[in-house]
Amino acid sequence: MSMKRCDDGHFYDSSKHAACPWCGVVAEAEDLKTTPLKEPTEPSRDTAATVAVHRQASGVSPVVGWLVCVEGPDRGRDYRLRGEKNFVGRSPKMDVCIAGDEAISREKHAAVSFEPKKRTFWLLPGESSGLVYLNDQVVNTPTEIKSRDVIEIGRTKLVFFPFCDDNFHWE
Amino acid sequence: MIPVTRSMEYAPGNAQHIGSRSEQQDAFGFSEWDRQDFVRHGGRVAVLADGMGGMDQGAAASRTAVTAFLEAYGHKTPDEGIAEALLRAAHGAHRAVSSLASAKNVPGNIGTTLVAAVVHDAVLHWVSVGDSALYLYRGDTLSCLTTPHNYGTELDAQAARGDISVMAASTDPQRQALTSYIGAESLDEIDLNSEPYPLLPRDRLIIASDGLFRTLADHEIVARLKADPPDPAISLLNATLSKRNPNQDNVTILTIQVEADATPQELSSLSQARSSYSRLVLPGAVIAVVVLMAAGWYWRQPSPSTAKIRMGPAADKERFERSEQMTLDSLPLAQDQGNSRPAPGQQRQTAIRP
Repeated sequence: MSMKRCDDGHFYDSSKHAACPWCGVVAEAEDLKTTPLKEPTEPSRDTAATVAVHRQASGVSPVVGWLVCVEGPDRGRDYRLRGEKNFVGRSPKMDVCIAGDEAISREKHAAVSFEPKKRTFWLLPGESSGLVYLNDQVVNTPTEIKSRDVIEIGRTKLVFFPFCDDNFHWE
Repeated sequence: MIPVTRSMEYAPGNAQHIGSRSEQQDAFGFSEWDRQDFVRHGGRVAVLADGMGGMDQGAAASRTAVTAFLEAYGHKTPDEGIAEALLRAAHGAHRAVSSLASAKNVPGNIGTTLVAAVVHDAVLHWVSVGDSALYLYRGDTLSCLTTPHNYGTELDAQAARGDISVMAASTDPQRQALTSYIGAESLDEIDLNSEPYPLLPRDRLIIASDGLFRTLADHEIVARLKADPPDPAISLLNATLSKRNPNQDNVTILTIQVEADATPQELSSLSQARSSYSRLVLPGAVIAVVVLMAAGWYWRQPSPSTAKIRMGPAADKERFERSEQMTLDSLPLAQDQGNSRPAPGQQRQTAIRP
């Protein structure tokens, strides 16, 4: 394990994380609150990808993967994942808005991040009271996810599919 | 003065979770671990702050305190003692949080706990304000080195004197209310060890917010550490969250693992050296009390005239060594409840023997 210290004085395993996992979520959450440019439009009923749609309009962040709901009130719906952190919650402000599941917290129940340097995907616990599971194991710390892994959140099960990987990457 | 001056390796670790709260109000940080020019005289420091949720700006308070503390401690010069630098840094954090409160127009109403530990040349120094905790895990024994500044501590002291009943002390709804914290209008109590505390190879230091020790009983913490997990901070976090406590507070765990390639003979001689050190240290402790109280008077900000610097004296080490003979069965009733904290002058120890 190669422990690295970030600028805020947290230690993390730099062989697993390109950036500090202990301070990233907080900074991103503050951005969401304070940056008007990132305020989302109303969610599309087709994709429920809200902030992500906005990001696409600015040309910043193309699709890097998907979540597909296989169990729960929104069964059959897909959710686009974009670069860096995608927050999951019921609120339309969330990047992945699962509006139909009351058991999911409104904001930041969990996050799925894409790390572009190593082209890896990570599941992060959120800031809400609810837990998130990966393949039936509770996720307490950032955990790498692979194709067809099952993410359980509230009463919803989501299957993960990467688009960016060793074979393709947005330049 | 201290016979143990060997070089040791210190491995840091950290883990944090928001629990069931809506906001993460814990903050933490380590100093630059490999900056040798500073490490030579200032050692390595780990600091944790737990912002007070009942007040405004709990998250801002803890982050401000950690940042200000690390910055102030980083200004330590080789001429300044580590204890003095810790005290100065604690007051620096206090001033920064007080300034934040003034800027928000809520003076005295922004607060956070703060606990910091410094490891340097095989000894430990610490400073604490509030009820976050520093533990030492040695052998199979867990010892809480800090004394919480909460009303429960005062109630336990009153019960010990016979002023109130043990039942009244243990059931008071205000037990967990803090009596001293960073940002308070008057910084009344600072917990500071008077003498460097000798460390041994394989010691484990655990710094935690109350999200850990209000959910896990001491013996559960011991059980995790006894398994010698590669990352004890993550292991303790997982143990905490596996309880599925619906009221789980923010939890932050920092660890420092003391590593040294010591043979059993070396360990034995280190232990003997520590025993003789305990007998010699009391006069030094008295001198240190006088010096540090003078230092506390000098750095009293913003309202230090009533500050009490509680020393963790040499006697604490003797109690710790005696406690190594304790087992779970012999622990006092209050400690069996798992969530109690030590009364003044008491340390909390839990041991599991095979």
